[in-house]
Parts: sequence; structure tokens; C-alpha cells
Amino acid sequence: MAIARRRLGWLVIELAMAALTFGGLALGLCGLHVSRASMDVKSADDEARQVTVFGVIATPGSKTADTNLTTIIKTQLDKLLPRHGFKLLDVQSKPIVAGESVTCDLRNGYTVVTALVQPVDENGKVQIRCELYRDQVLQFSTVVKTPPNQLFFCQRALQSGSQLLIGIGAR
Amino acid sequence: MKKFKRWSTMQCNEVIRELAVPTDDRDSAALAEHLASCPSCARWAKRDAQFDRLWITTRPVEPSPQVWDGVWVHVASSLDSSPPAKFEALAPHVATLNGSIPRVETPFGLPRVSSPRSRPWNWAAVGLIGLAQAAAVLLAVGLTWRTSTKSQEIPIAISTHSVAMSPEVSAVAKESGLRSAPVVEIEAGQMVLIRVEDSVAKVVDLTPDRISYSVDDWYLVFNAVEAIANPVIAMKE
Repeated sequence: MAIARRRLGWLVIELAMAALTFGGLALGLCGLHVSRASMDVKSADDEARQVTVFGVIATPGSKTADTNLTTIIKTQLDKLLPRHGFKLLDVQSKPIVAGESVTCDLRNGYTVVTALVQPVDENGKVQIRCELYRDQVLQFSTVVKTPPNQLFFCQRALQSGSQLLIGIGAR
Repeated sequence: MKKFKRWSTMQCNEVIRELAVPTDDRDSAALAEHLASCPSCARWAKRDAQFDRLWITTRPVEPSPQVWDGVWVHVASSLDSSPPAKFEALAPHVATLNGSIPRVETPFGLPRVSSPRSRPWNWAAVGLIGLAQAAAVLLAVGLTWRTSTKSQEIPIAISTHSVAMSPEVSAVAKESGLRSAPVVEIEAGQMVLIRVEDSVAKVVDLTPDRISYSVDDWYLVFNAVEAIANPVIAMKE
């Protein structure tokens, strides 16, 4: 009697083990996979980034002090281009999603268009395409993969000897 | 260097050791002589006596020999049976000896024998735990496998997107003779300047060599520029 009861107990345990094992495997393969995929799609498509673009003209030897530029901006720009005067041309900052862009007017026919290619890639970086136009003609284009909350700059020498500095960042 | 004061035939360290752990062959006369002449050891002896009185008045009652006999009987009888059930029967008696748990529910000397039904349930519990562990491992393996499959799909999608965009850009570049730079990848904390010169675009790394533990100045510039673009209204009527 005791042996029969013990065998029955083991049979129940084995059956339960098999059921839970295959159940767990099926859940891992199917159920959670679906919810994860839907989460990825949402994050990739709907995530907006605050993209900030500004253009500064740097004139060599000039002591022009643009009142719009705060001390920290001037101090840091001095590190990029020492012994230059700086004047803020335009600054734009907008929340945009993939495919949208921010246009910044740099005067003298220059325009920079910054488009959000991918809000976040597999490395957690923001992919941005920067295009510099002069009189509607594309002068320069590049794709930049940058970490969020971090500025980078593009520099273009003008015929007048001044330098065009374009700062771009996304968060 | 004189490490210990010497007041009589006994030294201070010997007196304190004798007070803490009395020995059978101690010289009570020398001890009393030292305590009479050494105020420090006398204070120590006074505190020691107070502590002894406190211990005597508050210590738990010593278990009787019958209690110890009962404990050893249970220990001996539990050696040839399953440990959890017997320990459960023994635990209340041991806990009572420590004084931490109120009196035992069952009368002492009458061991709680586990019922025959409890043993299969114990095995069932062990089986269920093992089963849960196996299921968790398989679940983790399944998820890992799916995740790795998914992560292999992502780069393909991205590279396709990049490739689709690149010919467009290069086609425009050929038409207008523009300068086009390859994809620039910036690392965290890196300060990059893309310098467009006559025929080429050069990527210049301006990251300072020394490590700074303060707030990144370029991050402050980012905040300042954003504030210029979107001035915050601090007060409003």
C-alpha cells in the first residue's frame, strides 16, 4: 500500500514537471516574444528627440561680443577658435521624430538642415543627418551617430576668412 | 618602557586577568594587597562585582538534568529518521532552553512524530522546487534564444536603412560636386569637430586628455543654447 502510494506520488511529480517544463519553454518562445516585439516597434517609431542646432560666425581678430551668447558659450567657443569674435546667427530647438528635420538659417545664403534619422540605434545613440546648403545647393552632407545630451560641431571656412560654426545636439 | 604598573607582588594585568577568569591557585592575599594599593584595579574590581551581581539576578534558569536527557534522547532518535521532521519535533525544546520562545505546546518527553502522509508531501515539495528551477532555466534559455535572434535582426534593418540613404546622398553629391563625409560615430564624452575644408571633411577629436570629474562645460553650453532657443517664462501674470 505504501509502495503504491509512493509510486503514485512520483507519477504526479513527473507529470507536473513535464507540464511546467514545456509550458515554460512555450511561454519563453512565444508569449513573451510577442510583447517584446511590440515594445520595440513602439520605441523605434514614436520616440521624439529634442534636436538643437545653432550657427555662429567666428571672425578672426574681432572683438565682437554678441550679447546673446552667455559667458560659458563664449569661453568654450574660444577653445575651439581662439582669438576670434563670435556672433550668433540662428538657433533652433524642436522635438522631432524620425524623418522630421530642423532648419537653421545661417544668413548669406547658408542653411543647415538637421534631420533625425533614428532616435536611438542599437548602441543607444541618436542618428542625425546634417546637410549644409548654400543658395539651395547642397554643399556638405554627413550622418552622425552621437550619444544624447552631447554637442558636436561642424566648421566651414567662408571666403571672407571667417569661419562658420554649427553646433548640433539631441536629447 | 614600563608597560604595567607594579604595586605589590602582583601586576595590574595579572590582577585583571584573575578577576575576569578566577583560577584555583590564586593568591588572595596578594590580590587584596594589590587592590588596596591600586585605585585603577580597585575600580575595575568594583565594576566586575557589579556585573556579576547583574548577571546573577538576570540570568535564565539552568535547564535541569532531565531536560538535557530529553534533548539527547531526541538527538539520538533523530539520527535514523528524516532530519526535517525530527528537527521540527526537537526545535521547540531547544528554543525553550534558550528562553527565546514560550513554553512548548506538546508535553516534554513526548516527541512529535510526523504523520505518514507528511513524507510524500515533503518529496512533492522538493520535486516542485526542482521543477520550478528547471522551468526557470528553460524560460531563460528560451528568452535568451529569442533575444539573440531578435538582436541579429536589428543590425540588418539598420544597415539596410543606411545603405538606402547613402546612394541618395552620394548621387546628389556627384551632381553638385559637394564634399561628403562618411558616417561619423561619436563616443560618449567625446568632443568632435567636423571640419569641412576645400575638398575633404576631416573629423577632429577635441576631447581633453585629462579626465575631468566636474560637469562637462560643453553640456552647459548645450543647456545655454537650448535656453536661448526656448526661453522659459519664469513668471506670468
